[in-house]
Amino acid sequence: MQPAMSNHSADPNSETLAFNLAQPGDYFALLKPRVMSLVIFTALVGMVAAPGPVANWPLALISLFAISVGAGASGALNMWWDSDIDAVMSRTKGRPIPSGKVQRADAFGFGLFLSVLAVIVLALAANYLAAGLLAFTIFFYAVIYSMFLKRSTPQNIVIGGAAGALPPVVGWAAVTGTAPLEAWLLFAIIFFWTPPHFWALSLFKSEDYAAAGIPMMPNVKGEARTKLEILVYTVIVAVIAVTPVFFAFAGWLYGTVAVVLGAIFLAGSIRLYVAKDEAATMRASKSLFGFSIFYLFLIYAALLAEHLLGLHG
Amino acid sequence: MADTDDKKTDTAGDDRSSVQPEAAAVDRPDSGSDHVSDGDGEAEANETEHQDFFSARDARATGEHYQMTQAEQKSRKRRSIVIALGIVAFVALIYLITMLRLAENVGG
Repeated sequence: MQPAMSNHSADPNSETLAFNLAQPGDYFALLKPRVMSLVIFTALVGMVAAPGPVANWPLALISLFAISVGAGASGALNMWWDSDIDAVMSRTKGRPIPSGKVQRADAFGFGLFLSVLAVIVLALAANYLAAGLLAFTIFFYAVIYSMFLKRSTPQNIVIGGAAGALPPVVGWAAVTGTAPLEAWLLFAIIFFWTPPHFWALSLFKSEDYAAAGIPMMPNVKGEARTKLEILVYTVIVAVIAVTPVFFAFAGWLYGTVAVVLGAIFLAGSIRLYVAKDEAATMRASKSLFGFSIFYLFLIYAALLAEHLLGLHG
Repeated sequence: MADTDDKKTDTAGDDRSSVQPEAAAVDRPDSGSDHVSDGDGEAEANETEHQDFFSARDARATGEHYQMTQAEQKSRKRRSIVIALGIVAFVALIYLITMLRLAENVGG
């Protein structure tokens, strides 16, 4: 058996003929399965948190599948566009394109094809509003974020975070045909959660981002400013996460979880903010990054559990 | 971004130097033998020549065909099977959506 790389052109921009040893799993990796799982989860919470019982679960599950495929497709388009910087960063150089397993053009075709397919399936299984929102999500992530924001401004993940925040709104729209304020509160939680999450990561991966030429906040504005902005966004997300309780689509269980976890999240940001030396900053940023994932998962899980158990009324 | 590009080119160059001679041996027996017996240094020196030979445009113009290795044929077969299953799944999905929609409307 030849080594995996032996018959590949590793230059992602190469126009040479591909001696293609790509396996189906390599194409699946283009879809960013871990991001997909988070999208499935948040979109499911959007569906369940929407008013009234889900009228048709089989169609809702097909809609969920379409949303996850759409999210995966936007991930493939992102990998197609960012293959040059992915090859430089330690975190991403093992991805299918920089590692030479999949050709750039193939990834582009794959992503585009799945994007169209996902939107059509969602339009058929749910409604045009949900399909339109999914199409916008894919466009925003692949074009606005990947092509324009990511390499041009330290606010890249703040604005680009909208793409990652839309799945619960798409899920809500898929089962109700509407996107009211309550759905946008779920959007706001993820939207304001994104900066502290990614900036905590970029604090301990700043060399990686600098090598790739991505203007992340720590590289452009410095560590102190990044810590301050993390703190500000954590305060905002901790407050916004409690608001669903006042809009009657969340109850005491969710409220308690949101308050307690928000306080811990805030404490982690303060610890990072006051960290003096580099070692303490690294420790605090890694800890905050890990907790931020746990935080988002738990408050959405609390909302899901409340609705499934009928505790929110 | 110049730094990024430099690094990318370096990486690709390193890989190509070890990849292309092997591919040449498979693809072009009449001229590939020279390249196979060469060391890495000469393979690097011939990089441009290999690139020219393997460019998709040239392949179309000359009508030459690439003989796939067993591993490549196996990979292609796997991909083809998954594509076929995907098409079947898509047809089944559209059928299912149609039936569920019909049932919904009849029931409603």
